[in-house]
Amino acid sequence: MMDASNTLLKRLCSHVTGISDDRLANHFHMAVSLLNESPSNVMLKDHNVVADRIKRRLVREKRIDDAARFSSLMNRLLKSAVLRNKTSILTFFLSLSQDSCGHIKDQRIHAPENFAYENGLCNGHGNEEAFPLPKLHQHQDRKPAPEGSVPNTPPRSVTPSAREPRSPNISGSSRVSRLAAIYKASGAAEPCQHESQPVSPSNEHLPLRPTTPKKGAKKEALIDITEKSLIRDVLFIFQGIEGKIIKMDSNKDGYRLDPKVRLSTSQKEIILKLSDVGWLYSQVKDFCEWGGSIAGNERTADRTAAGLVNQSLVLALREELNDYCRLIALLEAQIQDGGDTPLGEPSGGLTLRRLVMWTLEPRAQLRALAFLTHAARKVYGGACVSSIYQHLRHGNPGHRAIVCKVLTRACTPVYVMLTQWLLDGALEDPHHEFFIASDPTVADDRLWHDKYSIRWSMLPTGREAIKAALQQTTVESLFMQDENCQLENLIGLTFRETSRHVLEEIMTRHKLMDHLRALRRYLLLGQGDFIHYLMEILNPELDKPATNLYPHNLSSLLETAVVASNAQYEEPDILKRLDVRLLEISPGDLGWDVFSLDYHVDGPIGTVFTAECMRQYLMLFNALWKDKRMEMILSDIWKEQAATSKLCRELPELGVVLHGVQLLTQEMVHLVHQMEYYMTFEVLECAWHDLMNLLKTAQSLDDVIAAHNHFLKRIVAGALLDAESKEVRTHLRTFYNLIQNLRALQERLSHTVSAEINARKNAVLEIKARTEAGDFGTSKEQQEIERKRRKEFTSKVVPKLKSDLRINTQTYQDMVQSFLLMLAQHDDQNLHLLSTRLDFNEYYHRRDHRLNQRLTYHHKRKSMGTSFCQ
Amino acid sequence: MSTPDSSVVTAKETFQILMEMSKLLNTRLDETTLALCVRLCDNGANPESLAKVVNELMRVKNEMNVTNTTQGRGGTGT
Repeated sequence: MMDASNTLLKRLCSHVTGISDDRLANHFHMAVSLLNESPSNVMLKDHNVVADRIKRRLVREKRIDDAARFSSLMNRLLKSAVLRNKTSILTFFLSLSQDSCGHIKDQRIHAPENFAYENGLCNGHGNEEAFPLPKLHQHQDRKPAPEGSVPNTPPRSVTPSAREPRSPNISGSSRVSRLAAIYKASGAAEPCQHESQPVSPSNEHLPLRPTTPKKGAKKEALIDITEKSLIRDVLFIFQGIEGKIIKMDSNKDGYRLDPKVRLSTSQKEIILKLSDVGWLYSQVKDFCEWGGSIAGNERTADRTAAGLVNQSLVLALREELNDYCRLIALLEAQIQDGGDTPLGEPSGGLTLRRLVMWTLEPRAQLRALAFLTHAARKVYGGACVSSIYQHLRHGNPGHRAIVCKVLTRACTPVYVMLTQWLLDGALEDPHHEFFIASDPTVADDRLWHDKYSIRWSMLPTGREAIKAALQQTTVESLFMQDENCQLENLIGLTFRETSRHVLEEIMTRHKLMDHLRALRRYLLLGQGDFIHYLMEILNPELDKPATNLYPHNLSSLLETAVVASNAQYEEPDILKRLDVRLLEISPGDLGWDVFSLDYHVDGPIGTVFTAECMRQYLMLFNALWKDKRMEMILSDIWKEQAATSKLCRELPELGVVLHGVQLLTQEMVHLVHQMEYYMTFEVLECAWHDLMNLLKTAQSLDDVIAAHNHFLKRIVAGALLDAESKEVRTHLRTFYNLIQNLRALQERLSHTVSAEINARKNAVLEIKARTEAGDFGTSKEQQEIERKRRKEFTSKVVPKLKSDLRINTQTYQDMVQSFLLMLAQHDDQNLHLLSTRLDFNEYYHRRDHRLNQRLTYHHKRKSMGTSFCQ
Repeated sequence: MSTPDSSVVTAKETFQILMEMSKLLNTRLDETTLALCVRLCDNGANPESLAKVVNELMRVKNEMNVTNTTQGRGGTGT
């Protein structure tokens, strides 16, 4: 040491002790020897490191303000250029302040420490003052240790609990392992912690001898270890790494202690508890490393195949594990730093018991995480969320909190998908995790109905399943804990907005209303002039056999009808969709049987007008078309009758027949008109009115579809086309046959009439011609022929006509009677009214007493199952 | 970095800073001792050992003050 230093040191000694005489020499000598013992090595350190230590120490002592002040002082100090060696001075302060603390606390224990000086072990004495017991221990047990000559390191010696006696009670190791940690007295690895400490200087670990020689003698093979190395091992175990003493037991999926290590039962139990943490950690970590789940499944091979939910679950777990690792790092740092802090400080040393305390919380967390990983195994996507969600009902609030945290993270992709789905209508689900599946093969017109379906297995369960018909699908359910309410609102809002948009779209751009109106006009025969004209010009065509029909002919006729009627003012788009369609032809069919109008619906409006709807429309058209045709036939009959009745004035013998035919025709006209009235005003108009009202208030496309379907159903039922009224419909068909028969009869009648009149005219003309020729007007044979012919007419042709008419009338009246009964017994109130109107003069009432009581409940019950026909 | 003039001022300031630190850390050093120690440190003494020396000296002083009898033993011990 330099002279200057010596002088300084001397001055220091004299100043501090206040001694100036030769007694000072002793102290000076001591000081020099102390200083010379260790070359200064602090230069290696950075001043920041030392400053940090000081600050930490202040913080530990709860002197936050002082720490802050120290920081500002430090900043100022750094600016100063005077000091050459700031680190050194800081270290000096640090050491001194440590020492001074201990000094104050334990001034009484100076006497024993003198032994240390006598032994020449001057190191660390200052610190040990704070811990009388360990020091005593040390002094008793310590041999002239190999590491004795490291005086400059702050005393780290032993942690307080290191003096726990290491009992050789190895038999205690056979205690049953809880959960996973297994301690077995087996194996041969020999921990030599002296060489094994890789990081810290050897002097940190003072080996503890067996405390009682007696026990040590009993089991000599056993090895004692310091608590420090035990703790180090435990820390390794915390990270899922094998330690020197605590080994992985591959057989039992747990940890076991090296059998050669001497540990007390209590220590074993503590380690058992601690290694539990390690086991849980490795469980969670395994899960994370396998990319989230599906252990034992082939999918694990591909990390990304696990799906977004699992990936984010893993992410959440990793974050938790990071927190945990941070704690481990802190604990580790505490071992490293252990020496820097005097052992008396509350946070100073690390003992097994402290470890247990500190890992209590992380252990609970890890346990919760391990549960989650267990739950999330083999499931993915929404199902994964569901299975985690169940853990939210765990009774332990801590568990719940961590599950909530993890679940929120894991839900993020679902949430993102959901938001995207709700707001943009985009479905981005590469791993098929979302609870809505989309089928790209679905064609446009079935888009609304078939494109999206729900994967029920992926449907996350929630406090409330919110049902919402969304943009393009029908039902969805949602979930989520805190966001439940928010989400519900969001979905409601989005749903309303989207629905409004879709409605607007389909109403304005795709002109839903126009199409509905067109369907009503053309397929439901709303446009009278057009239908009438069409029927007239189609009449000659449709009377041909169905096989002789050509669609192009009919199409051109249709166009003619359009041009000739008010339909020409319809929008071209709608007219373009109107087309002729020939139904399936069966042998013997006439054109009437197979002809049908058609209305093409494709594109977005096909969503409302599905194929099923169109089928119903065609069915309705056919029924109405037939009704209409019957009306036309009847009016033809009436026209012919008008002509025939004129001729008949000369044939009084036919008067009865003619009258009968006219009566029958009138009855039929009445029935047809009533039927038409019923169809138009009581079925179509009412249903249409309701439909319009519903469409006005419709909130979404689904409402529109439902309203339209209801409308169709109603008119199908009203037109007696549904399954319930099948019998009535067949009955009606026989009525149509009767009308056809009547037409045939009428034709025959007029044919007969005209033939007879012609014959008579011819006879008269012949007489006249012969008279003019100067001949006799008639001869006997000719008169005879004429008389015979007339007789045959009155005796054969007329009665034949009469009987035909009677048969027709009789059949018709029977038909009407049973028809009325059927109507009366039908559930529909409107049909009852129809029945009343058809029999407005109560003619049939008188014929059948059953009709009198037809509206009573009693009658309904009695007539149930009985035949209506006589 | 600084002119000689300012360095004198800085030296004073620095010393004040150090003094304050010393008080903060409860080292119980007076100004003279601190100045001596700082100079020793600057000369390259091992600070940790120096701390021990100072401690020891203080202890000796205490012993002398409190019990004059123990002072002798402590002295011989070192």
